[in-house]
Amino acid sequence: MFAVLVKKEILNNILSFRFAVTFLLFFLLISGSMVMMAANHSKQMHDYYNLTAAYRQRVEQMRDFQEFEIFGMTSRRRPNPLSAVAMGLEPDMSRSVTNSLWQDIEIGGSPYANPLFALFSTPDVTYVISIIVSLLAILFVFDAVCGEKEEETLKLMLSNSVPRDTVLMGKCVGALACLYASLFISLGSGLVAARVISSLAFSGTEWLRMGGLFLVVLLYISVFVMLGLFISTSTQRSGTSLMISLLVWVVLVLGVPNLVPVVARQIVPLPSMARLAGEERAIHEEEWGNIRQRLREARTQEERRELITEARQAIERRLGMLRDNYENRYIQQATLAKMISRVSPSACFTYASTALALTGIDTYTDFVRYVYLDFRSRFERGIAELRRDRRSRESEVGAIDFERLPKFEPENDTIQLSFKHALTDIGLLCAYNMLFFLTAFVKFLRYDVK
Amino acid sequence: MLEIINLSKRYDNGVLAVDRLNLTVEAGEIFVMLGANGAGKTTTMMCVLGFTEPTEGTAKIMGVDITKNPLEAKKHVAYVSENVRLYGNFTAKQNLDFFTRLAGRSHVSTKEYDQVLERVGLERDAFNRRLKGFSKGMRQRLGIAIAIMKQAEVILLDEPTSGLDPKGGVEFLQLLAELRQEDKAIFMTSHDIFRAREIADRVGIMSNGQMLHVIARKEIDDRQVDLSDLYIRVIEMGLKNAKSTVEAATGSAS
Repeated sequence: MFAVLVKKEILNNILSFRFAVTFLLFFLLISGSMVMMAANHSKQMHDYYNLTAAYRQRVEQMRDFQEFEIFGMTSRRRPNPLSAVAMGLEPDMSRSVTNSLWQDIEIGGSPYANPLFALFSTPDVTYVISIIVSLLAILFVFDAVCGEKEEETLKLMLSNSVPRDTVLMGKCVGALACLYASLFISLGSGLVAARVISSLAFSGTEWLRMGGLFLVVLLYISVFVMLGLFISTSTQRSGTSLMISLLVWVVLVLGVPNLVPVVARQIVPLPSMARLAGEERAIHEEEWGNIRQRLREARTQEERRELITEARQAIERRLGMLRDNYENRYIQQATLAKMISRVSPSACFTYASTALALTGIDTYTDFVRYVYLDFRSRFERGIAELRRDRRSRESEVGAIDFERLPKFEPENDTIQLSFKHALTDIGLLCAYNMLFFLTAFVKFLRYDVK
Repeated sequence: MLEIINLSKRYDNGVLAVDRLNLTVEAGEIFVMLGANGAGKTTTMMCVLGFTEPTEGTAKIMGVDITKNPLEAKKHVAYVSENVRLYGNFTAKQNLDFFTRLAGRSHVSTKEYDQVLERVGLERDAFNRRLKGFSKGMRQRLGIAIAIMKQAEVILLDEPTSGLDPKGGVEFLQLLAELRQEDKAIFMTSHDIFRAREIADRVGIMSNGQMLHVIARKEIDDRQVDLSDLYIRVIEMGLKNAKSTVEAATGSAS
């Protein structure tokens, strides 16, 4: 019985104009996005190799180590191939990082960023799925039940000895089979085309990550199918169901993820950067003001030096507290925003997919931490060691051995850790599936088929 | 056999759609329930199909209580609605195949499908055509074909002749007569007094949820009853005066 229902649903879907449009859009958008992003990645890789080689050549041409110290060291992060699928925060990480002994470490602009992607949302596969596929999924099933009621086929179907739960399951599986098949074909074609026209290649681990990503995509599409079924079983007319579906989609996919940061800013306000700078200035003035009189009265140079050190330490301590406080509030705000935004399956999908593709918030935070903490100290240590070594060999002037320079190697999460980061959102997507299916199920059991 | 036992349905808004209805349709019998819109005909049918829960009473299909064991009861009943729409993207045969399999019949040959479609009078070139271009009459015939393929003992028809052209109407009645020959218990609601007069073994007149009067075909024929006149009189006088009205109309004191 179940197989009969599933077969009918699939056939009915495949023969519909709606499916033709859905399939065409899936194919064009997903495959197109794959190809475009893969080409973009190839260009990024090309730029990365060229810029790294040019920099190396320049460093190796330097004869004076001091010149190198002033010129500084510019490092680049290797573009992530998975960003062709889920761009996430990759544009904020594919940047040059410049270190020199004369100025603090600095993250520069991305040398290979596509300005069009900054102007509009990056049309990567996860974006297409998050916005367009979710809309198509909900539009695919919005009249699954109420439409059949209007057509009176539901009455005829249920006049047979068929349990309602079987009918609903049949609709669910039938719709998912059609959407998943369209997705498989589109994504598969996109990957093949991307491989042919670009240098995009995934390692074994990256394929595993792709597998995880694919699972998240399946769950995400399924959420909107279940939601559509729920709305369809809660309404009597397909027109009403369509309006409600669109409204719910707008709220969940466009509204919540965009509004949540604003709400979080209201709940946990952060002082402006200008105010922070003002407070920092005030600390400086206050601490220096505190010792001004004592400095004047100091009799020896030693005493003066001690007072200055004391003031510096006090400033450092207070500035540290101020920055810690700011950072804590910033983390609080970000955590709150993330937590609230998870009301939206779209946000969960973005968090989970970018976590698996190593383009998410955790990877970005790790990257920034690596740049400002690990790499800065590693650079300072490495350069000092190199200088000592050159001095001991009395070779202050001479070619710089590029291979001996500190390596810029931000570590990525292991696949296990990425899954761990994505687990909450994967769990939530599963929970949304269950919730919408169960509510649809309960609604359908009581559905008035007359 | 179909039994409707003391069936009542009061909706949440307080409207009493069916009021203590008792009725039996035997195998090989066609019972036509006549009534205006809102008389309670469709509600009765919905209760019999288990789509609406009766406030009181029940219906039994081949002895199986629809309120207690709906899935088992539905095995024995086929239903044809007033507007047979079916799946527009499917061909006639695909629709027939789906509903036949849904009724629990598998391994049905193409020949059998062709035979039943021919039997209900569907043109051969329409068998493999999508339903989107079908007229109402063609859909109605396909609806009957679906009911036949189910091989159920009881057939429920909700206003099946509305919208049929005269030729289609005549052919439809012939088909019902054939089904009666096959010992099916046929329960049909209708506005169409003339077709009811032609095909029914018994006619029930329903108004405001009450079965005002049931008259057998033999009585109609024997007493040369004008069914239209009887119907109008019964409806106008209501239940209290139904008996005297019927006596006046049929010329009997029984």
